Amino acid sequence: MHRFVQSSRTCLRKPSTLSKPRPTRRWLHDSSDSALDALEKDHAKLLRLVRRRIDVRNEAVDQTSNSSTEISKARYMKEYERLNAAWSEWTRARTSLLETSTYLSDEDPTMRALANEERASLLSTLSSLLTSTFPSLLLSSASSSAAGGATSQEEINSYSALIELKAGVGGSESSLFLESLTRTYTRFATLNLLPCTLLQSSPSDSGGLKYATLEIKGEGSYEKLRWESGVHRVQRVPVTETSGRTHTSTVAVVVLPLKEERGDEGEGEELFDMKDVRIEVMRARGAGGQHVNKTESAVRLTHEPSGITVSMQDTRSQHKNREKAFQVLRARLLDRKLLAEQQAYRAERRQLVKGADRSDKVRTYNFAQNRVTDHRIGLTLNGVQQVLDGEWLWQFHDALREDYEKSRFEDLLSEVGE
Amino acid sequence: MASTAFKNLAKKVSLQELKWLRDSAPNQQALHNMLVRRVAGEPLQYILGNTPFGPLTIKTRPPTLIPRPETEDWTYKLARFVSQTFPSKQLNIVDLCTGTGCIPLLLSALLPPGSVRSLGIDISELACQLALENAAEAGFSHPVYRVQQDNILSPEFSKTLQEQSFDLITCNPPYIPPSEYHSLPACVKDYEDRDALLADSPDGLLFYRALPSIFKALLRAPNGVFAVEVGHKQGEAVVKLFKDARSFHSIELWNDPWDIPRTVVGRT
Repeated sequence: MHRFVQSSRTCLRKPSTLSKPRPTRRWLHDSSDSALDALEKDHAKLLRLVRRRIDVRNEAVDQTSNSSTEISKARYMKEYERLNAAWSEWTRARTSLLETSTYLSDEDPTMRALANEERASLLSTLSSLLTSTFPSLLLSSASSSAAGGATSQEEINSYSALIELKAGVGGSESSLFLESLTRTYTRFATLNLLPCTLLQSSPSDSGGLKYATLEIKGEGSYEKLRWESGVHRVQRVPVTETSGRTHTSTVAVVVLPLKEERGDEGEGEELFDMKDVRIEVMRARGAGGQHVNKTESAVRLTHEPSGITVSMQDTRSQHKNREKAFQVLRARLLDRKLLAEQQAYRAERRQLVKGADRSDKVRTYNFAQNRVTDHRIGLTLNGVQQVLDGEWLWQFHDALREDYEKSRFEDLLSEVGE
Repeated sequence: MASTAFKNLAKKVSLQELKWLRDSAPNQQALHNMLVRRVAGEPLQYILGNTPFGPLTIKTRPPTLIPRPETEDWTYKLARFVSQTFPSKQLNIVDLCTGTGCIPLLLSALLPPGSVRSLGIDISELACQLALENAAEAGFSHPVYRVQQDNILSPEFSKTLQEQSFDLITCNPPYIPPSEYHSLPACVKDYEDRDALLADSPDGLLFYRALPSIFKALLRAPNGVFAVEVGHKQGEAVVKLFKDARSFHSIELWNDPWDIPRTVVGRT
């Protein structure tokens, strides 16, 4: 039941909005402090966005016929509280600032000094809210505010990583480089104290590996390593090359998200229905049992609805191969889910956040000139060995993350319009 | 660089087996020796000395029968079956023809810690020794796992265990009939214990005919469970044997991952 109250300004307001006092646009011009004015003008869009977010969450929480599940409602509440708390801090500091300003021209010099000190401190608080607190709160909330089903940044940060490397063009050079990259990621994991397992690998006849799958566990491992997805290109003179010509070869890397396993293969599974998975154990064994002693333990899973197939044959245990295969299947399906969410997100906005095509060349390693360039952000590091040792990867990751968050932030601001 | 002789040997085994042998060999010479044995037909598991079985690594040694993946599969199924039928109960298990002890050891690993007490029976002293070693490796010594050397076909057999009543009986008896034994692949016939494989009756059901009365004597009733592995083509016949004995109910026939009826399960 809503009670509508008509104010002298003839605008209808729902009780919920009345109970939470809502400043009108006039506050933008209320200030009698020029520094405050400047801050508010520079970050006008941001402030409008924060206000809007609070209002949206306000309404979502109040509505009883909301179709959101309990989980997304709880998440809304959490985000709303944090944002609301930050906003309260803003209004408190702002009010204090305006009060303090009146003492700036006081007769008593002690009062003036105190007022100036306090003003500086309050401006610093307000500035920090604008440049740090609000942006980080806005960015960490669900990427799609309306849908409610999208995966939050917090959730993404909890994922482990599955890295799949496949040799591209370049024959044996590619396989050798693949083996090299496998070591790079293993060292990176060690440096970051993350447990790393080689799930499977296939040696190439001419040395190196044709493909490899690494599992790197621990919160934040996916978030750190996701930037490795794409084609890595190496330019160098092969060991076997007699005429000193430089060869170019490539390795395709795909980093998939891994969620913590929940018990048995099919129990409580959100990503797929066990009925949709066809399990094939390689090669008919004839009579099988005591009659036969074959050592192949290969398993192949086919997820019918998506067409995804996973083969696993590296361990001697058929059962272990099955478990690992399901793990890879889960990772691929979760990856799909995240990609679909990203695409939905980009479809709603002006696409400042770049889409990642898995076949894009992301990095070139040039041995002769001893440099590694990441093409997405145009960052070049002068030390191929340090990058391949895993020591310098963080520099790429930090730069890419910053760039990504900047774009996302600009996307968010563009929501507000002019 | 590898010699030509080595390369020729290496070609004769699959890439996968080469990888496993290489992972296990301490040096090139050892690898070479392993390859020679493998190419001669010796089972990989005897060369490497073990085989994975669920989360366990079971030691294997000639001539004791090497655990098969079909057995691993139904033991997993059985663990699930049992935890649904007897949730949170202490289980007293007897495993006839225990061999390496793989079945009760895997059950001990899959079921809640401390909930399993098992006894393995085998006619072969070598098997009993190996089973005890495997139990120790898995951390499941007495009383979680103990062995007794005995011949289950002997008329005295049930009497030696008369004092005890078991909740679960498992059994993977020899089930290969003489006609099929002769045409077994060399790596099985020439290396694994004939007495662990051969059931000397034309239909291969020699052991199964003895089981219903043994189970009747050893299984608690009601709420006792048994599970026996059978050879291809034997499923229906073994089901009938238990049905005709009239002491059991809810008799099921489970398929293995290759769609062959592999395990007869029933209850008292």
